[in-house]
Amino acid sequence: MSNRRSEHSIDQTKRFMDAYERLMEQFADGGRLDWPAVLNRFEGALLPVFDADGVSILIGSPEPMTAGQDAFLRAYTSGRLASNPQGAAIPFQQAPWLEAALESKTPLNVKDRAKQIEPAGAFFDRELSAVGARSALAAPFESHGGGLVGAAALYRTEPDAFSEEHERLIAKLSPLIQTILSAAYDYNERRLGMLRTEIIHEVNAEAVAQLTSPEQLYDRVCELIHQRFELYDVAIFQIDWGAGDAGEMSLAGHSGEYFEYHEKNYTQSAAIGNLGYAARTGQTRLVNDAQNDPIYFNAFPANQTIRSELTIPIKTEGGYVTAVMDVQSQESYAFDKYQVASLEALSRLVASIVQSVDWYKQMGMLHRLGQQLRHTLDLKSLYHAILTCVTAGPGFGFNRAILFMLDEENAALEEKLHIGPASTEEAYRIWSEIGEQTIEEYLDHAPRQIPFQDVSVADRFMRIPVDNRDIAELSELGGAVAAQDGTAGCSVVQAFQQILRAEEFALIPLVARRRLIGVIIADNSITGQPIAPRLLETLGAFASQAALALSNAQTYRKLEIAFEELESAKDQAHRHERQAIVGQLMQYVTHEIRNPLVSIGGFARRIRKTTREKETIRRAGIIAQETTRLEIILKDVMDFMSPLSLDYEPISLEALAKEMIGMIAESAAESKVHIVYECPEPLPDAHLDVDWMKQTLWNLSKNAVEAMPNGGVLTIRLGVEGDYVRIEIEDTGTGIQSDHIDRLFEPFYTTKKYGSGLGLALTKQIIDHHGGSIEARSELNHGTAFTIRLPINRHARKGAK
Amino acid sequence: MNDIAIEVLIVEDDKAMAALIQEELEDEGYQTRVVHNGAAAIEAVQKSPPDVVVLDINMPGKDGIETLSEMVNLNANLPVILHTAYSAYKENYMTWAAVEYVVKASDFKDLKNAIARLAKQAAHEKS
Repeated sequence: MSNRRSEHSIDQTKRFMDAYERLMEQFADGGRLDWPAVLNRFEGALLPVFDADGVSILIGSPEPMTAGQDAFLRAYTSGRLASNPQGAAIPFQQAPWLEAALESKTPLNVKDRAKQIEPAGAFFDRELSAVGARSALAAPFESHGGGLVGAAALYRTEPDAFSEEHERLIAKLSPLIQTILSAAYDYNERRLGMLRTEIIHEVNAEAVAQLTSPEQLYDRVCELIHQRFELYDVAIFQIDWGAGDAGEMSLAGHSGEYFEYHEKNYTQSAAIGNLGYAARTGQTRLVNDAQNDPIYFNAFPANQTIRSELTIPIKTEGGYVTAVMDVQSQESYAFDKYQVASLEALSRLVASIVQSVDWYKQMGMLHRLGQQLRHTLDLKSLYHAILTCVTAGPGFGFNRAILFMLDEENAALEEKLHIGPASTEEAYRIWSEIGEQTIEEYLDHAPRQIPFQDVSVADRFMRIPVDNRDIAELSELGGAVAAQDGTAGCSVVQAFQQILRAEEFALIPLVARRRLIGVIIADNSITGQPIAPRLLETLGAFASQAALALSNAQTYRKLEIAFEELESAKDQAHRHERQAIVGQLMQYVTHEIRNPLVSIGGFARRIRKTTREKETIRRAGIIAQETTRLEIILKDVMDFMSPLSLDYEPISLEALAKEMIGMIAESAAESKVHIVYECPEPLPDAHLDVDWMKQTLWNLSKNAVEAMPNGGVLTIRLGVEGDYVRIEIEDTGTGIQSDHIDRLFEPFYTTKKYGSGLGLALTKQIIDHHGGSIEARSELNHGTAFTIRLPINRHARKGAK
Repeated sequence: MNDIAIEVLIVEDDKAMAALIQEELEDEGYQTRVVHNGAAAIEAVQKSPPDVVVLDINMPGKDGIETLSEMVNLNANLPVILHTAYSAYKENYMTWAAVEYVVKASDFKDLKNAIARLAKQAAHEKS
């Protein structure tokens, strides 16, 4: 017995030494320790010793990956790895035998799975039954201070395969198995760590190579993750928050089998599924049992194989979710803590690359625009170009923008242009129409004006009063800033807020040569996209270019105006010179004509006076009359030609009108013209030139009387209209055709048989000099009416039309 | 009208015009003296100052403006009517110390009115 025992013992020792050596041999070369390799080496060492069909390694943490989720172990089993290199996930709570075995430090020996399922639980259900095992022997192990647990198991397809001896042997091998497994675990951790670093390097390299298109980058990233992590499907969805009711997510890149047959135009609402969850909350979501998950959404009901899904938001600096990474697996519990962390790190990397791509594009655009802006000297084109850059997709992509220029003289910011859609629907219509265009192509489009709904129509070109403090505050902002709703700022910022009524807007001061020349405000009222700090930096750079271009154009415009003024001054000087010469000439001519004319007329009158010969009286009368006519024309011409020099003093129009009525009364009576004088209210004294005004009233009244050779009514009506006195002179005479009305005040236009055609032209000249206005209305055979408006005070002249 | 005789000195180089003015004024009952140039006018004023002077501006030799200033130097209170075919000097006549400015017209209405006003003053002073 003792011999047998010692033989037995020797036998056992021999077997142990054999197994030990085999294990050492397998693992001594220091080669790869990835799980398939570890499994392979265990097989080589242990299968002959235990006469087993296969090995299964169970390893994992009893702590859940994230709070509220199950902890699970990963199983690597002979004959199973080819189809599932990731290993199978076994929920820790579904392997109660492992805890018990660790407690008692004894191996688990399953004699017959057909009779004894319970203790093995999920381990058998999921793993060993898949390879047809009926008996199994599992040695538990624990390391990393209890943070890592697991078991090495041997199985056979027959029942009762393992004896107590086998149990003792595996118990003896346990310390070595534990050392190997924890080393392998560390190796794989490190390997995955390296894999992550490698992927990050590769993604970065791809990003540099494809800096222009985030879509291509998405595809490459998905491909890399898919290959390196050996996953079923990896996809990236871009989110368009403005589309649909809750935003639309569209497939922007993918690699793997799930989305294989679906083109990039696949979209789904951001309201549903794990994708929607990650998009809306900005948080990673892990589903281990997809078919029983309340949130999980299956895009392709024909494919019911998805068990695990991991959705990770891709966020911009401001925490705004622009895309979601979606990783799917046909295994439950497919993702370990490590993969989740790796993929989260990758999504952050992708987010920053996409932003870099945008930034890079913007820098390129800025460069091109800078060149274009520098060559534009027309202010209106500049306003258009600048706001197009601020709002266009290939530009800064703001939904709406308004450009204000500082009007220093009137201490106000004056709106020059606003661009943007009026509503979400219009925004989409425009964006889809414009499609993929370069900024240069955009610039050729006419700007779309927003009827900002909160601003009254009357304020189509808004004005915001500013004082020196406001200007100083705006210039000292130092660059573009984001202003939030309720942010206390200077009154101008509040005024902008009132116009936009947006939660957040970009305030972009335009400062050129250290002077504030204007301000751009822009917002994303339609998409609600937050304004990223880096965008503001780029905007700041753009603003200084824009400001410089605007300032140049303003200077150019000033020069242009100065030049025009100079030209017109030159013209005027030339004209004045000519006028002076013509005036002198006229003086000479009239003098030379008037003297003989006066003699002719004078002597004709003398003849008429001194003779009694009737016929001679008649003939001399004709000469006198014709001479008088010529003298009147001469006088009108001279008055019209002479530069008006007016001497203003406060005078009473009532007195003037009455005096004029006295002057005209005689000739009115001769023509049976009745004079009506109306002045319903007392008039203030007006600043007028008495002589010229007298002449004006006399001219008009005389015309009126002359227009009524067969009698009629001459009405003279005085009144006050605001800062003006009004004189109306109306007759019931012959009138003129209404289409001749406009020509009435033209020099040399006359309807009279004996007129110079200069009377009304001179009248208008006089009224204009007073800063007043004169208008006429007439109806053929019914009469003519003139209305004169004269400023009461001389300083009111400026505002006269 | 003219209980006290009012003498008008007519200075006019155009002889036909001078005769015409003379006839017209005499018709109104004024006494007249006629000279045809500035120098003669100064001489006439020196000899015996008239009540009113009717002075043409555009004359050969000493023109009306020169003559006027010399006359004013001789007699600061001499009422002078500038009687001219020019309307352009209207603005300046006061600075030249003329009392009235009349643009020549064949009816001589303005001239007669101006002389009547001055004659009234002269008569008032004489009486």
